Amino acid sequence: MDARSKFLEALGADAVRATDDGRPVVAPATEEQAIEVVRLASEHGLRARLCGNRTLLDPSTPSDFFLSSARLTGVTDYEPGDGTFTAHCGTPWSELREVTRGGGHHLSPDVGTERATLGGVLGAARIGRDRQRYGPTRDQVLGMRVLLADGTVAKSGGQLVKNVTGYDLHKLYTGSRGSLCFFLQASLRLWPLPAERRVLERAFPEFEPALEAAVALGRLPLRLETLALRRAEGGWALTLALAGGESVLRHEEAILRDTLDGLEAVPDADVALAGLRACHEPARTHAWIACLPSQVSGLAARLREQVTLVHPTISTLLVEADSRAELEPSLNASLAIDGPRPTARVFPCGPTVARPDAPGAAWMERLRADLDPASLFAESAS
Amino acid sequence: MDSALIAALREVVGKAGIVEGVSATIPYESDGLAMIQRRPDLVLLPRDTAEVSACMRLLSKAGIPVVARGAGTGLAGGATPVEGGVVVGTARMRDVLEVRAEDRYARVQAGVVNVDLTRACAKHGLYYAPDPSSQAACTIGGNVANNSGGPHCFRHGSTNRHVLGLVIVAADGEIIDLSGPSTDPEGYDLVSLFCGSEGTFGITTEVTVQLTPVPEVIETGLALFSGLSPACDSVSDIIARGLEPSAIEILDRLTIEAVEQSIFAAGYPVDVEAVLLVEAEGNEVEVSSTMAAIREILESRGATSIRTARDAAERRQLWAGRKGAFGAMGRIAPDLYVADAVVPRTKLRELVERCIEICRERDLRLANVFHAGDGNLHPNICYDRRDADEVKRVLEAGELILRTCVEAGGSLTGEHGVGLEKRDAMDFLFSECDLATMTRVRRVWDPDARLNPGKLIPVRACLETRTRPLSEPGA
Repeated sequence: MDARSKFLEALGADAVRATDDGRPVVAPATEEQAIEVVRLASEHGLRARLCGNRTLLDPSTPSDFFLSSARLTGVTDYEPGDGTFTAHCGTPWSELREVTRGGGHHLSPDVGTERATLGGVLGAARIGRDRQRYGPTRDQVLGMRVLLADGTVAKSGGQLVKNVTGYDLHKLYTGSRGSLCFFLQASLRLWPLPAERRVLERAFPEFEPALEAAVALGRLPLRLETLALRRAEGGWALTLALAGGESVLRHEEAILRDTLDGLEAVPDADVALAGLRACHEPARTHAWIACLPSQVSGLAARLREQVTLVHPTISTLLVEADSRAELEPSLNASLAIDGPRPTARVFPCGPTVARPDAPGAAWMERLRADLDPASLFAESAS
Repeated sequence: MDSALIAALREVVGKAGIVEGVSATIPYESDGLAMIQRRPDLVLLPRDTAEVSACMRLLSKAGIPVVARGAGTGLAGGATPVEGGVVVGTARMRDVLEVRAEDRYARVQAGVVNVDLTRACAKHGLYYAPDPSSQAACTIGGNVANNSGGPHCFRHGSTNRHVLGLVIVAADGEIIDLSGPSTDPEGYDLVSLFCGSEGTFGITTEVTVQLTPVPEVIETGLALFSGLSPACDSVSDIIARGLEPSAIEILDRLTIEAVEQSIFAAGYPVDVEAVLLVEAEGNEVEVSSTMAAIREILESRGATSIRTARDAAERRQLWAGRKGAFGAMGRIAPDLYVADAVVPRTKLRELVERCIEICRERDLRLANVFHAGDGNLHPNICYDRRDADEVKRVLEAGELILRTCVEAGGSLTGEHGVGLEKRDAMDFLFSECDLATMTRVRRVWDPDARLNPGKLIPVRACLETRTRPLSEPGA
């Protein structure tokens, strides 16, 4: 009996689909079914590639089947007065955004792909257009409930904005790209939904003056949601997203205009924000390279042709190419820059989480091997 | 302890780096959880990462348990020594290694005192945001071990959010260089995992931290209430309205009295039942609109007076009272049991009231001072450790408070850590599978279980028998 038949027999037709390359996607609808899938995989030596809706997954990664959380959906606990929620990890991010917006909250990271799931966003530690104000994805995660390769269901953290009880294993899992455990549920913190948002833009024909202007704006005492440079027709677009009450926005806009001439308010902020979200999720192979603020200019100069987006204040660059091989020279160039080594996270997610020479790579492998000794979910961390 | 081993360790750290003998090691018997005291065989005070590594290699070979210690200000027994073990302290590792204002980070040795880091970067208009109440004494390494908080973590987040890198010495002496600095680690986020591991994964020797620009405008308000409950309700309202001050703290009457009788006197009126300290920061308009909205809420909840600190000096004084509150409690009773539960912010009032009830039922004096904005309660029970019956009632009340908070959707600790104090309460919150998974991860870092043994995760003997705390005065 092949893998597909085994899962069909155990879970029924609703839970199993075929992909183009013949590997089945198994999507349990309950935790018990997920445990059964892992048990079967372990019993028959089948390697699982863990995923949500496979929006950021490298299809060439070897596995016998995909284990998807896409049917584990729904918000289990949303407490608007506390600004926290818990949901099953297959819940679409767009749905979570709508539900929490209804309760007066902003969900970060502000990523736009309609099909992305909660588990997928956390597994990939996605970068949203709003990171500058709300921090990285790992800071949003308050707790998780996961399924380990041996069938153990274990939680860490909770649904509280402040909590240091036990190890923060959910921080280890965030960004682990499906190599450690299958995400069942996660609890996240939320942010007050701004009363209003404004988007300002200015075009620059050259990168360096655009970066200089962006750095100057980034030093102002403002809580911007976005300050980004995007590659645009004829050069670069400097885009700022402001969020807050009317009086605060008026004040902040005046400060920005005093600092930089030529800023134009975008008439439809929602459309502009959707565009910003979209350029954070390129369809092509891409990498987010994080460095020090003082390294941004030098790094951009080395990678110029492939750089499509820069966040100067969080000193992160997005590089794109048509294939991993085309991206590789940029990744190597980023490592050769003077000073502390930048980090690079490549998408779609391949078979490993880090390069073998990444700091702590040996410890990552020890952790992976301990949580998944039979390498059911991944062959190696690096 | 074997004299040859002691000699070898002395060779590594020098005469200044070794503390031995009964009288000399007494100060290391406990941390802030003075209820439990144990004398270490030896205390080592290495000077840098290389010395820590060399010591750990020798101790690993000899199979000696190791407890890491910063300033010993922890309140949960995380730095309580292990009998037959060695304490490795960071008291001589106090160098600020690098301040890079342009890139807004600093690299420091683990023994640097929290407030000294802020002093070191003040000339650049920057500061280190996490501000535990013990910040005048506690160390950055200790903050990492406990993922420490503080009043302003309401806006800025706990220690983990500010750590960009670490240098760690593993149980066998291996130096793990994760110094970064990195805001976006490649692969697993080992630094975030390490934060809050309470000395059970390794010893932090260097920390790279993010620095925060000093806010353009800071406004500190003081609201007075004739009851603790309306003060709690006003905090729930502030959260529900989506307002974003930088800190919201509450002190109750007994705390106010203690503070005002102490050197930390802040000018809080002693005839009110609660004071609420609230601070907003940012640009001028942001601060004024936030404070106006908060004032509206405080008035609607019956604050009898609301005033704003006139200048920086008065603001410092108001905060000195809050941060000195634990120390000031010494005027009420010789000992203080500091609980650290966290509760959903929608349930502040009911749980604070329940804590009061629990202590009243046991004839215990309770002083409340807490990070209300984060739902982080600090019910402080005043007692005298020489009174065995009182100690018993304190422990009982402490356990019941934790259990009540957990049952209401809360947690055991918001910033002090689990340590020894709350180790056996981990069962309230976590299943056997949860704890077993944590233990698996712990064993990856420390396969021989020598690092801070007996802390954080409940100890299981054969047949999974639950053990009791190793030392219970009066029991």
